[in-house]
Amino acid sequence: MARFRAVRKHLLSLWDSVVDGVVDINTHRSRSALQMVGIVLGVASVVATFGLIDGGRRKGQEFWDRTGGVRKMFIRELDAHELKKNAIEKKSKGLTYDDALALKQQATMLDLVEPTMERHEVVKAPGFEKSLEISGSTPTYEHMYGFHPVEGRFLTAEDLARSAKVVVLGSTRREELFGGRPAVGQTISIGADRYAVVGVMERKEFYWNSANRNNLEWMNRMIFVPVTAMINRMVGDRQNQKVAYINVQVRDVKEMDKAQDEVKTILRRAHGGVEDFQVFNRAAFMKQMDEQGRIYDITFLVCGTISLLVGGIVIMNILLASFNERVREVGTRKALGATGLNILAQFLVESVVVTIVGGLLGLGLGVGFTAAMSTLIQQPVVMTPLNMLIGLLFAVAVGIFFGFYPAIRAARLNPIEALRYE
Amino acid sequence: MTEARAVALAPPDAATARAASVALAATGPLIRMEGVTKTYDSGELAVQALRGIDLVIEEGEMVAVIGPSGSGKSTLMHIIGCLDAPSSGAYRLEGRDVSELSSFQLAAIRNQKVGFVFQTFNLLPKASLLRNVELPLLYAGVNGAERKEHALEVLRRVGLADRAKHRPSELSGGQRQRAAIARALVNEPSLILADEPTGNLDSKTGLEILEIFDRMHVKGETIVIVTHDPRIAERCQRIVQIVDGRIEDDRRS
Repeated sequence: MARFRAVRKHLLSLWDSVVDGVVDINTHRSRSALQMVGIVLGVASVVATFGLIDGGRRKGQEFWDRTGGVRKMFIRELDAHELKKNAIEKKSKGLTYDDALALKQQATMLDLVEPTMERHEVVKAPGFEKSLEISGSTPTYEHMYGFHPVEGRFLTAEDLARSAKVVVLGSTRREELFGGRPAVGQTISIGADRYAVVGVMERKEFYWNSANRNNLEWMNRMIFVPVTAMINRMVGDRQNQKVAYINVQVRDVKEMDKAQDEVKTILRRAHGGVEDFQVFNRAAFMKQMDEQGRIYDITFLVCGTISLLVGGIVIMNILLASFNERVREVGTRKALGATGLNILAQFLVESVVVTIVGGLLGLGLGVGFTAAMSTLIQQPVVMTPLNMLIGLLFAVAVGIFFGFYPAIRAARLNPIEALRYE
Repeated sequence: MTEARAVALAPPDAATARAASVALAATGPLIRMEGVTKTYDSGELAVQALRGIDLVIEEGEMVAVIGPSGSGKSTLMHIIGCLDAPSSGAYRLEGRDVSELSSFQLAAIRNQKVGFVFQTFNLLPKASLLRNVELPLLYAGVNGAERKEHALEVLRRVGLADRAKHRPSELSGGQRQRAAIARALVNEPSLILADEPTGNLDSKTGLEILEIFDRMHVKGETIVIVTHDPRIAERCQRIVQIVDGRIEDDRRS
């Protein structure tokens, strides 16, 4: 019982030393403010840089998501100039509609295969005449790009089977061709034929920042016709079915690399063993981006750590600089019954509280700064509670670390010498 | 309070704690020193500050320790106040051998048994008088409300209750020393230990402080005043004169 009470008493007096440390900070406001500066700036810079980096990363992620996700692979022909150099390569017809069919039949890891042909044709509507790029696509395009109609419908399997003379317009094209008038149900002429407008696509927008143009405007300028209609009615040459690109979607993002190998094998076989095409693997690209991002992370982490260390050194310096004027105080406190632990607690509390308060102020400053930056460059800012907590804990760790030496020194002061100190 | 004090002093072992309270209850002199020496070893030069002190001070005595500077009287005071330990010899405070105590126990003794009054007052400059007087209670682990109440009560006793919220710099020297005395008294110590308590005061204010000590003495406090001022010494019932680390004279009036 006596032991319990003694321990309790001891803890109580330690707790009071903690309170005393806080009181001490309050009575030496300018000193404490000076100590805080380093930590405030350190935490603010860490929080701000991480907020901006994460914001940028999220923006990138959003761009991928808006254009078909990470499971996508983009296949296109290699430069034709290179192609003509080799006689064997001439046997290859390049990337064709048949390649897409081959992929659809033979590939085992793909969800979607979508070939698109491109071709310029004169488009005519009442009061409009212009040569525009037409895309010969399949119904899969809608799912491949997550790109949906807002009026009418997109291309269907039936359109494809019948080589139907139907057209779906991007929002910008619809505006150019019809203005405020209804579009669906009208017909326009593309090349020699007339096509019925069956749908209008949603408007796609994506801005990296305010100064930038709409990075997805090309989607709004699409004019879709069934790829079969393009082959049979516009090209008129069944031997020439070259597509501009083939997009495929892999079933499982973990199988991206394997799927890429499979796609290459199938295409090489179809091209007489020649690799006259390129496959762009989004997941691999993302991985590369992530690795690059990690380098940024590390760089900024190192910078942040250095600024926090500087903050910690500032704390220690000021504690040591004010040490001499406090020697007598420590002596007096010891004469009044303070134990070394009491003194240690008081000094440590000072640096810890200073870093916590400084850390919180730094958080506020960092969040404010990133918010200002984000409105300035129109980029979203990501402030995760975890990021903030890590910044704060780091600051406190710095406070304890750099507060320890002065605190130990104070705790070990000989009371007589401390009292005699002038 | 007495029980609580005994607990705070006791080593954290129940058996020793019981032994300690028995020792506390036993009658005997408050201070008993036998052959106490103190040698400061500063490199090659060993300075013998105390060369064998035998001293007994009973409870309720008011003793002046006088001597020229460098005579060892400050060292003696530090040892009496448990700020320092003797190099050899025995020192018993309330019957307990101080040399056996840990630094925590010594801190507890300074906190509970000894009230220090310094020549330069040694109040914390940025803290209010109340906060200053509360400090010993704080280290004793007394809770906030009780602490404040008790500190105010002691400030009232030295006539400074209305100055409780003031900082030391807003007070006169005499008031500061009265606050320091209040701080020394607040844990109801067995011993008041004053080092040149009037050294920084004019003679009239010094007299006021001495009158406070007189009143405390009448109430039964044990007071040891270290001074080189014979006029102060004359007011004490017993004068111990130290020269060259030895007691040269010990007389009662």
